[in-house]
Amino acid sequence: MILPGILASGISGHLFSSNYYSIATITISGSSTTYATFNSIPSTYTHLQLRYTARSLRAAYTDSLFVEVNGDTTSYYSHGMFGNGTTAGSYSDNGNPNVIGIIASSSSLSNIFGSGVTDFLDYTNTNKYKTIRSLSASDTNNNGGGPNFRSSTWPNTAAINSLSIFTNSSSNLASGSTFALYGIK
Amino acid sequence: MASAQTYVPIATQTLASSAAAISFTSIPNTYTDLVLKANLNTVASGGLLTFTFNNDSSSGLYSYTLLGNNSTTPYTAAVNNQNNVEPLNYVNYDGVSNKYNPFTMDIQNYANTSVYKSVIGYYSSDYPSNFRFSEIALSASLWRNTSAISTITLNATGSNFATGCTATLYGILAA
Repeated sequence: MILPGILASGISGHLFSSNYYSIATITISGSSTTYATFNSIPSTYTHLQLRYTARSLRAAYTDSLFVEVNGDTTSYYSHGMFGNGTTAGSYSDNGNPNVIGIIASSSSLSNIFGSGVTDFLDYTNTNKYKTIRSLSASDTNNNGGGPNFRSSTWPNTAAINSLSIFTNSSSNLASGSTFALYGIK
Repeated sequence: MASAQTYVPIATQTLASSAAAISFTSIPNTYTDLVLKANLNTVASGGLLTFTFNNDSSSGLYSYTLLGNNSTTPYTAAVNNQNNVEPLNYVNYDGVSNKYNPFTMDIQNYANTSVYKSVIGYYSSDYPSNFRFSEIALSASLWRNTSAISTITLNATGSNFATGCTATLYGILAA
């Protein structure tokens, strides 16, 4: 028996190859791209999963990565947990763009990219607010970063048809950053 | 947008007898990401888990940061310049023989020879006899090597992996 809730999870259970589809991939080239945007996302899946490897051009060791749903810039409610080797902490962050992860940025060694997996459950269901779950990893070898776990709500019942990813600092995304969107049936 | 089916089991290993390591070798470089899902226990109490890539166990190029909870207070730790990654505290703290604990690794861009390899790890265990060493752990780890990953080795330290441990490696291919 295939359980959709398990299929959607990157945390537990087993995914089945016949239910997991690649929708589109964005690869950043050059140094002048601020947004990675998926438009016209088909409504034919049950869940979406975003998998990324990303780096910011911010002049620091790390940066936060945001996602906007359907162009909405403010209406998110989220909580997170993080560990950076010094502090095991948590935070809430309401009313801002939605943080999905921590990534490496320009002060880190040049080959370090952060990675993450973000799940958008029931993304076309017009009776539900949208719950978003994110896990990310950005170890920078003793320069900050670390694991980050996020849960957030987009309090809107509209189907998700676009996702736009950008950095907290408004810095550009580094060349070689990749964002892959998958649909799960 | 294109819609191509992807998420392929590459290999599964089930231990018929206890073993010091579980390895996946000759991993094809034809996918975008790898996901490894393991269900682990060790023969005796105190067993630890480490992992390495491409049999690199001496370079000091691994680092990792942990966020976890095995008591009433969450912990964090950052460990740098290591010869492997230790993504959790104990696979088997108190010797319960039929308690297997799930550990998952997401390895993005594993075949990209321009980037160091970043790994998300997540683990959970719960012990009926000693709640203090029940644990959830989320880890960020880094292998400062641009080589494509062709071998993944899970090593048991302090005690061998127990019979019945399973590990499945999946490949995900982006459009």
